[in-house]
Amino acid sequence: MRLLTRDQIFASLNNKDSESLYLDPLLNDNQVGSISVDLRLGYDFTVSILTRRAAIEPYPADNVKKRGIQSYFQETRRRLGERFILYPHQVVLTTTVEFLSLPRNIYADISIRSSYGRLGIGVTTTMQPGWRGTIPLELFNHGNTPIEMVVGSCVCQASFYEIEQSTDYVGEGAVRKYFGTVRPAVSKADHDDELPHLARMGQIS
Amino acid sequence: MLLKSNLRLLLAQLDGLAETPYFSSDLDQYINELRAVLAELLSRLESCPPRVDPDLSQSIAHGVWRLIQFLTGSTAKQIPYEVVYAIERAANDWGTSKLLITTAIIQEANFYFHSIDRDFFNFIERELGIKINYQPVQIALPYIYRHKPLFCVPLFHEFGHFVDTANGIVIISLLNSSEAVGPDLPDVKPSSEIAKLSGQEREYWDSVVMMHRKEYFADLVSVAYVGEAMLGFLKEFIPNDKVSASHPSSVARFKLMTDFMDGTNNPIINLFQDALSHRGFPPLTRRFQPVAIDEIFGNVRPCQLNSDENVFGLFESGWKFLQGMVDNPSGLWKTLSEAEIERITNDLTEKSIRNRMIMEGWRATANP
Repeated sequence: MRLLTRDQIFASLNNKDSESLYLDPLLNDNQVGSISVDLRLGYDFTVSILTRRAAIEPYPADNVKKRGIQSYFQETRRRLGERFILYPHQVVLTTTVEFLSLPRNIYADISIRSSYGRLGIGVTTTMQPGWRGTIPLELFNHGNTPIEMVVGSCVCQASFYEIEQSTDYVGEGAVRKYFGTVRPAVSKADHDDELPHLARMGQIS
Repeated sequence: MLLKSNLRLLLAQLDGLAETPYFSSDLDQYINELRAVLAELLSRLESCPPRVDPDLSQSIAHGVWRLIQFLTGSTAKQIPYEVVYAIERAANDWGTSKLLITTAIIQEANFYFHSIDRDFFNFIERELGIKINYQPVQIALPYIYRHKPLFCVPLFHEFGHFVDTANGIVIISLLNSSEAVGPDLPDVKPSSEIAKLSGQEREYWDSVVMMHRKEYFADLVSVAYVGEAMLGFLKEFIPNDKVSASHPSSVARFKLMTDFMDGTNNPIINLFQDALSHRGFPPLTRRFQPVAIDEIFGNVRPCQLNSDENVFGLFESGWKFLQGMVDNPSGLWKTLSEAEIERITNDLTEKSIRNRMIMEGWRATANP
C-alpha cells in the first residue's frame, strides 16, 4: 500500500483512462497538496429534526409502527457562496461539491481540515475502491457555539492509498446502497439484512 | 371580517418570508412591494368609513395569495436549480431580460410556467398607487421530480407557452392565417367548414383552433430544446390522450414533433415559422447539441458541458442513455436495478449541469 503524493495525484487526475482518479469540479489546482486534496462543502443538506417519536428505530419491535428514517431529516439546498449554520449537537448530512470516482485499487480517507477541526467539527470517513459519487459528509458540531459555514469552502481533505489488489465495488452480489449518489442520503441502516435475524435472536433470549 | 383576517394572515406570511435570509435581493424587493400592497389595502379597509371597495380588495387579496404560493416554494430551498438554469439559458434566445423566477413544488402531476399578467399589477397601481416593478415568472413542478431533471422536460413545453404569450406568436399566426383559412388541424373541423359557421358555434371552433395551435407551438419549442427527451417523456406520460377542446390528441402531437425533428415538411410548422419571422425571430430549429455521454456516464461519472447547446442536448442524450441502460444494462450498470439506473442517470444529469453552473460562477467571480 502506498500513499499518493501530489505528482501522482495529478498524473492520475489528468489520465483519461476509466481506471484513474476523477474529481469534478476541481476549481483550483491549489486544492491538491503534497499528500492530499482539499474538498469543498457541498450545497445539499439534510438536517436532523426532533419528532414526537422518542428514538430512531432502524428495526422497530413487532407492535410498533415503523417510522422511516427519512422523516427525521429535512432537505435544504444552497448555492455556492451562501451560508449554512451548523448548530451544536445537530447531525447534518451533506456531501462534497466534488464528484469522486476511484479506481478499483485506490481508496480514500476523508478527514476534516485542521482549521475546521479546531472549531469543533468532526468528519471521518473512508471511500472504498471503485466508489462513484460525491463524498458523503456527516457533519457534527462538537462545540457549544453555532458555526456559520460558507458553502463551497474547503472543509475536508482526501488522502489516496493505492492497494496491491483490485476490488470489485459493484460486482455480482455486492450490495451498494449509496453508489452514484450526488446528494446526502439518509441512513439506510433499516435495510441491513441481518436485522430480522438479530430481532429473532432477541426474542429467544 | 374574513377579508381583513385574510389580509393580516397573508401580510404575516410575507413578513416571515421577508425575514428569511435566503432570497436574492430582487426577490426581497418584490416581496417588499407585495407587503406594501397588503398593508395599504388593510389600512384602507380599517379606516372608517373604508376607503376601498370590498370587491376590489377581495380580488387583489386573492391575486396576492396566488403569488405567495410560489414564493413559499422558493423559500423551501428545494428548487431544482439545474433545470431552472437550463430554462434561463433558453430564455436568452428570446430576448427576454433576466427572469425573476419563483418556484413551487406541487403535489400533482402537472407543470406550470407563466408570467404574471401585467394587467393585475397595473390594476394595483391604478387603484392603490403602488407600483410593482418586478414581473416574476412562476414555475411549478411535481415534488417527486425535484431531483429528476430528465422528468422535468415538460417545463420546456410550458416555456414554449411563455414564449408564445410574451411574443404573440399564435396571435400573429391567426392574423396571418385565420381559423377559417387553415391549415387544417388533426381531429379538428376543417377550416373550410369553420368558415361556413357563425355565432356561438363559430366562436367555439375558433377557440379550439387557437388552443390547439398554442399546444402545437409549445410542443415545437420543447423539441427544439430537448429533442427526443420530450417526445420520449410524453409517450410515457400521456401515451393515448384523446383530443379535447384544449389539447390535440397525443398521436397528433407526437406526429408534429417527429416531423419537426425529422425535418419533414408540415404546414402547421410552416405556419409558426412564418409567425416567428413576422416577429423578427429566426426560424425554430434544433437549439441543442447532443452530448457524447455513453463512455463517461457508462463509467458513472458526470460529463462536462461546454455550451448552452450542450446543456439542452444533455436532456436528449441522458434520456436515450437511460432507455438504453434500462433495456440493456452493461459494464458498471450491469448489476444495478432499474430503480438505481433511473436514479443514477438523473443524478449524473443533475450533477453535470450543476458542475457547469459552478464553473461558470467561479470563473465569473475570479477577478473582483
